[in-house]
Amino acid sequence: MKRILEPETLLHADLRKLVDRGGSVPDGWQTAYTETIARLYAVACDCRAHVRLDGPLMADCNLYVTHRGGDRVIKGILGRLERTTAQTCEVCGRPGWLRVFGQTVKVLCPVCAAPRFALQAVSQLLSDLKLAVDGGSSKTLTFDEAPMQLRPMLPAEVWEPLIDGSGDEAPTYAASLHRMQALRPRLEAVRQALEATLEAANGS
Amino acid sequence: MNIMHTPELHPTRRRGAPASRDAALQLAEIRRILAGMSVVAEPIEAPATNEPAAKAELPSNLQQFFQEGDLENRWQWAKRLAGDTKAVILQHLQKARQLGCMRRVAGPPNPEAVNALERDFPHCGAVTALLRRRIALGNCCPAPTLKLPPMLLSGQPGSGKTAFAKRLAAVLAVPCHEVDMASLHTSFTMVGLDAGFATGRPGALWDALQTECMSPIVILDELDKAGADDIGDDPTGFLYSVLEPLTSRRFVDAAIGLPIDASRVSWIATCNDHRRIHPAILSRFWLVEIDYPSAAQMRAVVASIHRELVAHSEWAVWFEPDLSQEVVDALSMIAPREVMQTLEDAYANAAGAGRRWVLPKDVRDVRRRSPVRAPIGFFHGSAIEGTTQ
Repeated sequence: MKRILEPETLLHADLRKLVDRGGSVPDGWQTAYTETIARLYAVACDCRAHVRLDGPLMADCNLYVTHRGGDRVIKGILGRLERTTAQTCEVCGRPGWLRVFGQTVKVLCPVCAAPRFALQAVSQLLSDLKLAVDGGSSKTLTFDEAPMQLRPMLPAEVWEPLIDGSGDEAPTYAASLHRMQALRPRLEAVRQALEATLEAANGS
Repeated sequence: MNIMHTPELHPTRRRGAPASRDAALQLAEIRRILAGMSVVAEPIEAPATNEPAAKAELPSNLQQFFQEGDLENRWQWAKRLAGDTKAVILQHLQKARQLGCMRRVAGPPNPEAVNALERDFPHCGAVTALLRRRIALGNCCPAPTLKLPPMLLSGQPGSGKTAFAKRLAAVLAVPCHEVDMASLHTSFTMVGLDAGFATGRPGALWDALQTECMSPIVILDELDKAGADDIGDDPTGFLYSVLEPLTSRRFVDAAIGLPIDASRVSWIATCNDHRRIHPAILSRFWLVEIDYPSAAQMRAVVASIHRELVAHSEWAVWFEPDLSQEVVDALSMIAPREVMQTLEDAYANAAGAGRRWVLPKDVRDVRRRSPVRAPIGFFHGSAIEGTTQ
């Protein structure tokens, strides 16, 4: 190890920069990033002294480091970083995959994605409830089409079976927005709690 | 790098993170967050109708259907299977995984729907009274649910037992599955055939429970005609275990092998003569004798059938909406099973005559539509005598 670190080459200088910039990498990807740098150090021999590295850069769904003049070993190491981070939760490091939250996307495990999805669903429902009061019209929310994350928050009493009288098909459960108006204070509190949870997670 | 890394293409997800497991983990995390909130423990504000406030943090009508660990074990086992059954078993396990380990149980029905049931089936008042009592019992729970005991409806052919059972399923808003016990020769059809056989596949009970609801109604039609021949397996043998609450809580289909909770299934059997049923099975049912409707009750039945026919027939708009009292009286003389067909034929007769209303003679014409034909084969004694005279 000592032999390949001295004398310092361009590749070594770039690797040092990558180490210095490691603080900007999300916590969940730190392990993959550190392992990548260790692998690059391991292969940083004289024949690769001309290779230039830049990064770390964050795409929508992974972390990557660009290279110039790298051979297939360097490409393989960097490609592995991209593939690993595309499958790793950027918050906690557990296996995760791409999640879409409106206009943003993140690679998250189910546990870390849950409060974000729940916050999205609750916010949408509160918005709909407000519109129903302001506009006077009430649309129907069916159990099957409701976001799965809402289910722990909505008591069973709000759901009513829609019976068509034929009895041939499985029934549909639905709740009107007017029926759910009584839940608004509770849903507001849930939203605040979820926001606090996410802020705490981001802060840590 | 780009947004083309869709979840469906993700290798990690393909290997070991199916959507249902993801959903279960997400729900568990949300529940954990909500459990730490004081607001969840508080009841929601009482609505204006003074209904009891909700106490449950979770939807109270969701209950554990199977253990996720058991499913994973069976999944690993199924992957080692060989032959055609492997694909079948894996397909069923995949569906169970997608539906999730938590399923909905039946709740108390809408009181108006129960009133309508009582109105349309006045001769089944004993069952409706039982239903009302069970609703009252279910409402005593913090999370109201409804569990009906196994019921055996015994009565004459065509008295409306099966129709009542189907309508009850609609009132309870649960899936309904009908099993013709008369054509059942083995219990494999109900509880599955072991995957070790080439034709191994799950039974009808497993299929009935593969919905979002874990308390469907299963109608065992013509139970007294099952197992009439003494050849082969007893097709009613499975009832000994599934009708017992303790054993049915861990029902295992022979092909799938996954323990599931079948104790929430509502069993409704029909028969014409309950004395032909084995006493051990009979003792597990709540026996209700259904008689033909009386003349007054029959008018309500005719009105109900007429409503259903008009609601589902496009030609009904051409006719006057109501039936005359004479027509209702004429139809009241027919068995409930035949009323629907007779009424439809009566409308056809009226249309043929260019009328927009049905007359009693249309009904009478229909009743004469099937003259008794001499059977093919040997002559009856009376017929021979008639020819010799």
